[in-house]
Amino acid sequence: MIFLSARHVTVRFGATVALDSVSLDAPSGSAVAIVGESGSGKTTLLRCFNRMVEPDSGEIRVGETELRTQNRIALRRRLGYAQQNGGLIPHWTVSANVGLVLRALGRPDRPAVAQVMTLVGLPVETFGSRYPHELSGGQRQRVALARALAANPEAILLDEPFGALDAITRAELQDGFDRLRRQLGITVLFVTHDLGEAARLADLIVVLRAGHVEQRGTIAELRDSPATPYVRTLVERALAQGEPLRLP
Amino acid sequence: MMLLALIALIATPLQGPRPVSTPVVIASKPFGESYLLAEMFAQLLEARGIAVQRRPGMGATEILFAALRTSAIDVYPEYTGTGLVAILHDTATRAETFRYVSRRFQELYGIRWLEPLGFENTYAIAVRKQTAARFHLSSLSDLARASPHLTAGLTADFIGRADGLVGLARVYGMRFHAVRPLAPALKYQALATGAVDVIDGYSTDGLLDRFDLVTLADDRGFFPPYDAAPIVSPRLVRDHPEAIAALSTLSGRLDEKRMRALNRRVEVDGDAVPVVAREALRDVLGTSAPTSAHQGDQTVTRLAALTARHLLLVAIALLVAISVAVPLGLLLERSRRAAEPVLGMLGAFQTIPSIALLAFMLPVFGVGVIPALVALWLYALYPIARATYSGVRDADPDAVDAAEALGTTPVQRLLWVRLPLAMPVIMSGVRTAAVITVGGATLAAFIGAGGLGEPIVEGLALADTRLILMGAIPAAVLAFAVDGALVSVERALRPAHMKTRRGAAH
Repeated sequence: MIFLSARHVTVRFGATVALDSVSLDAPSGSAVAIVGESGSGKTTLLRCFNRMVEPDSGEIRVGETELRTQNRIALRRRLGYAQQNGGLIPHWTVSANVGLVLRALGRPDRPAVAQVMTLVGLPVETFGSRYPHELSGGQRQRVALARALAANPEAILLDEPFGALDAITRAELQDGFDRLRRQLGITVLFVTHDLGEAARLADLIVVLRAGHVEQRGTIAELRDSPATPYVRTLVERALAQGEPLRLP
Repeated sequence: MMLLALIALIATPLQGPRPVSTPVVIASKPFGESYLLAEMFAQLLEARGIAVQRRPGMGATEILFAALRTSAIDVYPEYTGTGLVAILHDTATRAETFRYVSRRFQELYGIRWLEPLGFENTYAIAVRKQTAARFHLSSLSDLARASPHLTAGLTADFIGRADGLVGLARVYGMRFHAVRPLAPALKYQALATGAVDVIDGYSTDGLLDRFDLVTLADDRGFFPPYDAAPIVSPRLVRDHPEAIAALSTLSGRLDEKRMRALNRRVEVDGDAVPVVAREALRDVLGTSAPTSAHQGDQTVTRLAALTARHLLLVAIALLVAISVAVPLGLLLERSRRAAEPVLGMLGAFQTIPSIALLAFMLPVFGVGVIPALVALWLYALYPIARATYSGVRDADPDAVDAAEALGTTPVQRLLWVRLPLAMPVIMSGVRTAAVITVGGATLAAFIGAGGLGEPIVEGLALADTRLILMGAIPAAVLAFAVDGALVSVERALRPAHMKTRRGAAH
């Protein structure tokens, strides 16, 4: 069953066309990666799903809901979200940050916060009362992930969640995340500029370039039958960097 | 609500019609003789058990007249010529000036002139003895002839008045080489040291004797008579006949020679105004007013009262400014296109000198506490609104974006993220505003709102540095103290992660 879907979505910012009739499907419980370079429109596409960006035309669905029929704030509370720099609230403790959505919903829930912090490997006893600036970059991203998951969302949207980390921390977090999302069975839509990362974490990959979909498919399909020269180059570059581009 | 009560509390003594039981408010203009006469009025009433409130040096003619008309004050010493020219705008030199002026004041404003005190204080155009000898000057006609070679140092008041320089130029053909506006307190010094050649003195000035000056005769009878008299508010006439009777006992009792001697004691010898007033009353009326408390104690009590009032003015202006400027800053952040024009306009107020702003507000708000508060409030708005706007606008964009994407409402983002993060910036704006307000509030005394500016205004008028410092030093200390107090507030409001913590990871 398709949980997240975009149909012929077009977004314009003034004269520039950021997305030109883009479509995307994320089956329930899958991880889908949107891959592209800066300016490809990948973040714009992601932010259409929580109505941080409003499409000029096209249709977006989350579950059964057509987005324009749902209140923005209620919709966003159904979807987890994390971004590259964590976006943690600096004067709130880690526990408070993780509990943000629950508090916004008016039902603070300490056990739920403790539980999700354990899931991301940051026990609340040790980390709960710290402030974001007292954490390492990797720890901050874990907190951001815990915050995205705390209110039991139906899906999570991630914008370059591991982008700002060093290679070792990144690999560690990627593995942890991969296990966690399978364990929770949650639908994940994430943005990355790194095809290797997409290959490691995603069931399906959508390659975006200048607001167009170049190809969508599994990593095996991209690798074995690239639809355009751009996709071929992307695959070759990833291989050259020693990425195994393993089969899921 | 509390704020309104506070404003009412400090505004009451100055806002018009008051109940019968309130004290008689006695005001003066900011120069020595006016202080002295007002103090004599006050002691005269006190000796008869009538409660008084003193507003020495409250302001120039226009301010006192406006306040008297609305019974915001009850009595001050005025001069017939000033009433004729500056208030009635009658340029004609009239015989029987007193009768004419007092009739017109009664008809137009319900203000009553009591019988004149017995001396005239007219303009005394004065030059140094050497200048008089060199140019053979004895009258204003002689001065007009020599005027192209002379520099005049005149009070701003005189330069603009029809019975001042404007009229002199018309009637005598006065054409000075240059005209320098001078503060009343400085003009004798300026003349004696040769910085200027001609000044506008008052015929009863104590300093005329001290500096060996020649006053020139008004040979064409240009100046109207300036007989001094107490003028009283409609309220006093209606409610306090006993006060009127008491004040009338001074009529005709002060001649020019005595007045000049008294002024000399205040202006030259530096004797305290209350002491000189008490002795003058004793000599003139044979009464002995009750001796007031020890001078030193009085100074301390007065200073405490002035400081308290100053602080109250600052607190109210600042609190009202915060409650307007912070929401305004937030509003501007929501509609950023309007932000720069609106902030620019508020900023423009900063460039208006406070004394000019106070003058603009006279016709709208009158005198006293309200215009002072409005002016202080206007100056405080800009730094607070600007700080709120930029503080909230620039608060951690990533955190704000994530909070929005996670489904917080705009109000939640404001209260949870943006305002707390903007707090240090907002507080720096508040501190700037507070220091500006403490300084600005000294000018409130010029329009009769009281505070530490009162001794400054008084000291400027009496050329008394000690008095000036008595206002200026506490004001400076107060600025430090208020800023220091706000540092503690700022520390308390600082976002949690910015407070120093032991054992932080890094």
